[in-house]
Amino acid sequence: MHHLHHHLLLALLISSLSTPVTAADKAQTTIRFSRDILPLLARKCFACHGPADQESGLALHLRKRAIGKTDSDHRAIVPGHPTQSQLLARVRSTDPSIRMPHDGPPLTRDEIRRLETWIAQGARYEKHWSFVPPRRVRPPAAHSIRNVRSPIDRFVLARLQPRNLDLSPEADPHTLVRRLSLDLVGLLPSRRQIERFAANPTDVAYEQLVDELLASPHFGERWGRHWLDLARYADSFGYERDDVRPNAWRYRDWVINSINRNQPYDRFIIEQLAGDLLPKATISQKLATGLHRMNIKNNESGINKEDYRNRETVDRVNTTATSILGLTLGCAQCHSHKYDPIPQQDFYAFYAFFNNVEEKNIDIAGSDKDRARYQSALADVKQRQATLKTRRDTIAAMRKHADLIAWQKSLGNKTSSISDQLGRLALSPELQDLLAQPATDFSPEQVKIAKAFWKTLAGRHDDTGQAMAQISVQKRHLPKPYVMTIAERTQGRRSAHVLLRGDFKQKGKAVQPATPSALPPLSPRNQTADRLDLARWLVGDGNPLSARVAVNHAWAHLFGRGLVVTRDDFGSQGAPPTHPDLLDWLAVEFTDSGWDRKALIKRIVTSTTYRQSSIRSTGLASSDPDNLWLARQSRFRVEAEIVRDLFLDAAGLLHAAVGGATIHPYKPEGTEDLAYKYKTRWIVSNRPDRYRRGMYILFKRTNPYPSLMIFDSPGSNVCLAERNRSNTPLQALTTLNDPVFFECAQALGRRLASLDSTTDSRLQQAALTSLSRPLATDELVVLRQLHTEEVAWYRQHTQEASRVVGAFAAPDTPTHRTAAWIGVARTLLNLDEFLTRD
Amino acid sequence: MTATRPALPSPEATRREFLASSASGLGGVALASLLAADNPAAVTPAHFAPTAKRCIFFFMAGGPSHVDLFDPKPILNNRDGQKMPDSLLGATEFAFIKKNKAVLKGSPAKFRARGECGIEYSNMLGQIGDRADDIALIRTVHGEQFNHHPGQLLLSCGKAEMGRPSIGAWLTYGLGTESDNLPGYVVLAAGRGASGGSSNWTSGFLPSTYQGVPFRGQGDPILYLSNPPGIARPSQRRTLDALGRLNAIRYRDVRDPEIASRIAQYELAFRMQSAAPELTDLSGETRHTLRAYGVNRPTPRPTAAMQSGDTYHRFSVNCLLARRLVERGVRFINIVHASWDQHGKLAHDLDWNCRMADQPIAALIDDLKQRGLFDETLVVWASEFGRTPLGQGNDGRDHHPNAFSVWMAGGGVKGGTVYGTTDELGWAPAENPVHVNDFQATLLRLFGLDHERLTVNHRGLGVRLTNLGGNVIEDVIA
Repeated sequence: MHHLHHHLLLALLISSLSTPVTAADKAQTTIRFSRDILPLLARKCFACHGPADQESGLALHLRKRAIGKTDSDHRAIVPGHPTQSQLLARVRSTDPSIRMPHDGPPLTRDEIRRLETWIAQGARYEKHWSFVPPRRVRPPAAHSIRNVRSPIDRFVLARLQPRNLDLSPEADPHTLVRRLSLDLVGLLPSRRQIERFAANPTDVAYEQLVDELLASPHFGERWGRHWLDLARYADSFGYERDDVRPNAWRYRDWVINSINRNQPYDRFIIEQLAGDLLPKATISQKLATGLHRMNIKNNESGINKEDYRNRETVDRVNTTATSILGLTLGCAQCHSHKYDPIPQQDFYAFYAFFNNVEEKNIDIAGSDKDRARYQSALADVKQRQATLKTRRDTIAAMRKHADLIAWQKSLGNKTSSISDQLGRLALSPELQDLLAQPATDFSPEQVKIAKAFWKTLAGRHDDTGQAMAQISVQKRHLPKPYVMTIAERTQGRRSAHVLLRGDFKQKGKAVQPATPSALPPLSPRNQTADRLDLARWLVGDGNPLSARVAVNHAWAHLFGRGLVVTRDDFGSQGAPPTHPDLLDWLAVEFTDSGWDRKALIKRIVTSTTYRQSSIRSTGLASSDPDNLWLARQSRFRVEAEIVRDLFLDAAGLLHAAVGGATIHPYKPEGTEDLAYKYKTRWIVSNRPDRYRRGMYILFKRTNPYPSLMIFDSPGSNVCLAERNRSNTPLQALTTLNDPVFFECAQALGRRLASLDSTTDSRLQQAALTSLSRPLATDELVVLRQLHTEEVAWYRQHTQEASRVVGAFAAPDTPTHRTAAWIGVARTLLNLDEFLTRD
Repeated sequence: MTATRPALPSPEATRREFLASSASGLGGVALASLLAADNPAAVTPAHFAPTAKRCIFFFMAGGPSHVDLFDPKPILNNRDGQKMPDSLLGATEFAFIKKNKAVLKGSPAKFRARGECGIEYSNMLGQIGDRADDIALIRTVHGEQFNHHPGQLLLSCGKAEMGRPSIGAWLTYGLGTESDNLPGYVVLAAGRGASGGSSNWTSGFLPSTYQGVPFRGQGDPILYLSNPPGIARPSQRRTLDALGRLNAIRYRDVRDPEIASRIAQYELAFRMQSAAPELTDLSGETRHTLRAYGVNRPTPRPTAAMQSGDTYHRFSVNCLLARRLVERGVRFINIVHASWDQHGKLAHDLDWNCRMADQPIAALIDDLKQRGLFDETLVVWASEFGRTPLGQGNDGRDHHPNAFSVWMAGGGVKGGTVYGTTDELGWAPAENPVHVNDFQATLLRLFGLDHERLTVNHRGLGVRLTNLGGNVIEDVIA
């Protein structure tokens, strides 16, 4: 599914979910409103007869209105009486002036039949599935206990068996180790991990491996980066000059640490949304609120500040709703939601929670050393500024006089004052001495010098001005020791209003902070609800969405697709879950465990469903090409940062330090040319930190790091729930030719060249390093041939050989041999399999 | 638990598997047909019969002054230094001008009627003006964004919001690309970049397949195009052959069509490695052509603000490259030139920019016509806004989104047309206003695309380039 047409998949999904496929699904032929009818009404009818518009007086989203009389005195729906229901007459009509929907294709026969059955059965309404809290579901009984390790498997088998499908066999041990390692820590498994598990692939050993990976500090990096997509994390402000944000990475570190210490998900959310409002808030809790400083911000001069404050607030609302509730609240910014029961007023009531957010920079960023360094750099800059200002003022005062004589006279010819002032001009000692003497006594030669000096005053004045301008730029770029957080505005609090058509200038009715009316009510601590109340409500008992959304994200990262395909939309326009009972079961387990993220992941990865092979059997390719029913695992290319990480890891170059400041690895010259004039000062690091993981690379929004973007890294401007996974020629050019990636091939090549063993055994070791598995015979044949050809070529082309080897000469090895191994390494690292999680 | 490598799937081979399993000799042709079905870049039919097939889009970032270039307002010179009527000033917001001090500013430009159509163009862009009979000029374009980056997002992506696809992304998404060895969407820049940076050629929420690929003025024309040091083309071929064979083995074993696609992308990359340098090698162009475009022209000093010493040459080369890209079937070419933001030094800097742009753009129009490419190639001049008829400081104008000019030529556009009239000061549309979204709808229409049908479901909304607006301006279509 490299070509993401979610709407297509969605249509397919909806039809395959609501069309019973086999006898065993017959139990479900009772029409269920939320599954079978609501999505249909929402897609086909609500645009004109729904929450936002009620043309001809018909509103189909509320039963009371739907069965009442319309403007023309008809009844669209008469419960129990399909033949009397205008709705059916209109969708069946062949007269285009009568047929509904007016614009767009007619309903299918099946859709009409569904409506008919539903009306005949009494036209019962129920809430949209995701607005009903998850139920504790008993896992279905399995037909056999074969393949069942976890209740998850029972739920999956219950959906497979009616379709005459079964789970695939387990993936081989090498694939399993690699899959687990990529999924949990985003790095290659170590040789020890591979060999240990391959030699003894028992459930106990598997669980040990899972525990080991969950305990790794790289787990927090891997799963932290997933969250950072939702948090629209970036290191710059976004608009125009797009300056780098000081210490944005401190928030990133907070996320990594929180996940590593397995902070319960509910606390994780509460601290990010309202850490500042917690009683006796700690520095770490305040730091967490950096989430809502990650939005893009316009620092362009001449903007309307209220306009952009409004946009930032809207973004905070949308990010919160999408990441935690899986709702597209943003649709209700300008008008009531067309499809979901979210009136415009609800949007602005939610907005009101963020309307008094104040940006607060707190001085906790650095160590004492950092702070001291900043203070001394700042003092130095200020000192230089002061010196220059005095110099400029002095020159300006001197220029008011016709010549040296007149100026000296204006100072009363006092030698001390004259020397003092000349001392501010940074002159050579000889010149200063001369000019300090009474000019009236000068020799003709000295007069000449004095005249020449006086002539240059204007230029000196300008130079000083320029130097001051340069210093002010330097001052702006000093590493500021603060971290960006949010706080609640206490004085001059703003009241929130509905903004007509979303226009910040058109204030409508005033609103109080409140949660969406279709969701359970919030009970505030005080009379007016605040952000902390909101945060607690989001992850509180009875919230139907947050646990489902969180487990769906985890599932999606472990299977390549969520149980709800539309990870960012659990509303009526989104996809219904493929496995509703499994989703609910996981959500309830998750909350019951105290929102334990690691326990959730462990539960999923130890299931038989997770451990299946991802191979598509011929049958599956046709019966379930998109793998909706999970009769196999999925196979997908790893994310942009992980592509880099795997290269560095295979090469042995990876600098595996966890957390810390943003890095500047190699970047091609001239990639800044297409961004704004204030070039980012990208000074390529020559320290080991240039080999750190991809997630630490400085992310400048208008000029992001090229290889990340080429592999679909998010632009980080808005909350993103799912990345694209494209497959392009630029990706091939990057992994083949980008010096960062080629250096990895060189390093791996040198390692292979340095081994003391046969060609075959070196090839096998290379495969174990990069693919985490031994080569099959046919693969070995191809690589052996490549190696032979490369050796022959570089023996003939010695100049090329030494350029290929560069700084990576292997000790006691002829250059052409090392070059050949680099060629082999480069090939292995460019295999589809290398970039893929199987 | 048993732990064996799972059995290979049954030997019944689909067409794709058959081709891939015989893959030691997997040729480009076989693969191309194999992949045609699900290649996201494959050419797809439009909604209507298109007149334009390719687009050269001059993105003159910063806000070129419409009242000095395209929309003559002699009254500004008559009333130079006078205050503007409050009735017009109204609730207008400015980035920098102080309202109570604002006075009108006369234009340094001279306008005269050009071509058979007799439409007036400024002497600052005289050579473009002389092609008036080929151009449809719209004088009443307007938007609501008066800061650069939001305005650029509106122009490039249809709404002042980040994360949406740009025009070129929509076109390549909607129509695919006809080039077998170059990207479908190319960005060329001279001078410094626009403040919107990559958000002007992003694919937004569409896959990166559709994002603009910047061609660079230094080093490789495409990032990472050259092999690493010492890797000669035969070595690269050996690597690709081995990759193809190993990937095909993997494909046989796991049957993921993504692998077949990967093989094809590597082959395309290999072809690109020779096609892109061939593209940028101008040695086959005649001296006459090079001279017409102004390639190797010296860049006059003093340069305009933020420009470098080779900007004229680079801009000329970009115009010539645009023609070469069009010849090779590239769908959308975005030529970016920033620095039309004359808050001050208008007389000098605007003149400097115009002398850079005028000759090569005129030469491009002529060249496209001579080669029979003009009728299928849409040439566009656009910017995020125009500039105030009011002066700023001694010699500047401020941002002005209320009314500004955009022109189109070729690709089925009705030449010799002017559409829309502004009021006597060039302040606001007097008749036939054209919102930026209307212009975008018209552009898509020329490509045979219905802007209301070219939608992608994103977050529950059917998102389109023209956001919530868009009316096709039929009067500029031939």
